Amino acid sequence: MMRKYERFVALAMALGISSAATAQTKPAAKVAPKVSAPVQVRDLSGVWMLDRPRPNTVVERFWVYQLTEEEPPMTAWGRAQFDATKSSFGKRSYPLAETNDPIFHTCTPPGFPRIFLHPYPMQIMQSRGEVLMLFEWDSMRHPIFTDGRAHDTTLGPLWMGDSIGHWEGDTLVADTLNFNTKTWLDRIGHPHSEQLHVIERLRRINHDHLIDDITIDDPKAYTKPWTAHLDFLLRPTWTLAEQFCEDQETFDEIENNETKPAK
Amino acid sequence: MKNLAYCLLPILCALFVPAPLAAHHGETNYDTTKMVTVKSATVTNFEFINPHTQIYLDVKNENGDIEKWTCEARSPAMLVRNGGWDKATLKPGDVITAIGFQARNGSKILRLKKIVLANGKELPDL
Repeated sequence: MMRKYERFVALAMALGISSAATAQTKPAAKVAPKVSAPVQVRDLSGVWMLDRPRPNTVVERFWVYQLTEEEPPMTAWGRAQFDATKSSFGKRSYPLAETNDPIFHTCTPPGFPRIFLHPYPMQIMQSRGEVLMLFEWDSMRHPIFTDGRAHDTTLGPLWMGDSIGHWEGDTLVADTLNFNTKTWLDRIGHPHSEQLHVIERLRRINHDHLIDDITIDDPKAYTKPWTAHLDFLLRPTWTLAEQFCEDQETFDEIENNETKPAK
Repeated sequence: MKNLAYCLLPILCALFVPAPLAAHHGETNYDTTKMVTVKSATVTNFEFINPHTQIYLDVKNENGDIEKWTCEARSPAMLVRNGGWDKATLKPGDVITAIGFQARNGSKILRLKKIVLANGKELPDL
């Protein structure tokens, strides 16, 4: 068990040297920043799509289902939770009939930060005192309040957590907690507990490229804080479309047919 | 030459699958190591719905019997943005070629990658 100050130091290091952590977790084929118009300070607005380097084979391309390629440092409790998950994605994927992915068959929200890994765009809108993330996936929303307020402790635990943020230069530092435990961190089943604390550093490195360094701090599930790096590319001609998980019966029927022996 | 093109098509598709794709409903049930091409398929229903578009096909097999195929594709909005589809892309009676990953258990279900319309126009599922 890490002592408190050791955890504090680890978290401070994870946040303070996020660029170094990024270098460790970022895939080798780094996305080259595009040459474009100068960025407007403190403006993250736009429609963004997660961008990951393209793997070489048909099968490998599905690695987009996790926050980092490296295995996060799980505690014994975290490992036990992870071993009990049965994702239908990734290297240890299970057939649909056996998956216990919480979003399957029920249309429950994927939660945060997992929602970043679903292949749908995200729009960021800003107003005074608030940065609002809108996700096409199930029309989810995620406000980050930047007006100096404290975390809201009147509600929760929440699917997407409660977020407050502040600006450090052109970087939005968002702090999110108050999560329920009904979600996974990613699409392959990495767990989290009620102690999950997510710290993001969002920065628009040029007009077309947004980066999000996400630090996961959950002492119950992980031995130390760890950081993932996400790249988003601007989609200037896109608008968010209506998207809800609808007509589940149709897909249940198809999935049942996929998992039954063929006639 | 035409036959050669049909033979090469799945290979080319496998080589040039462009961006990371994902499915709400997982890829485990599909054999993602090879593409399957379903030719001369008659559309019986086209559901441009979330989270996955559905295409239902009738295909006459070599014995003259009708086989029922189902194709699962991405969400309507992503097909519009990336593939040039729209809600009028298909209607019952259209004859198309469907290319994708088939269910591992041999069921006639495709995780769609591309369709080819009767006029030769190709619409990817990116």
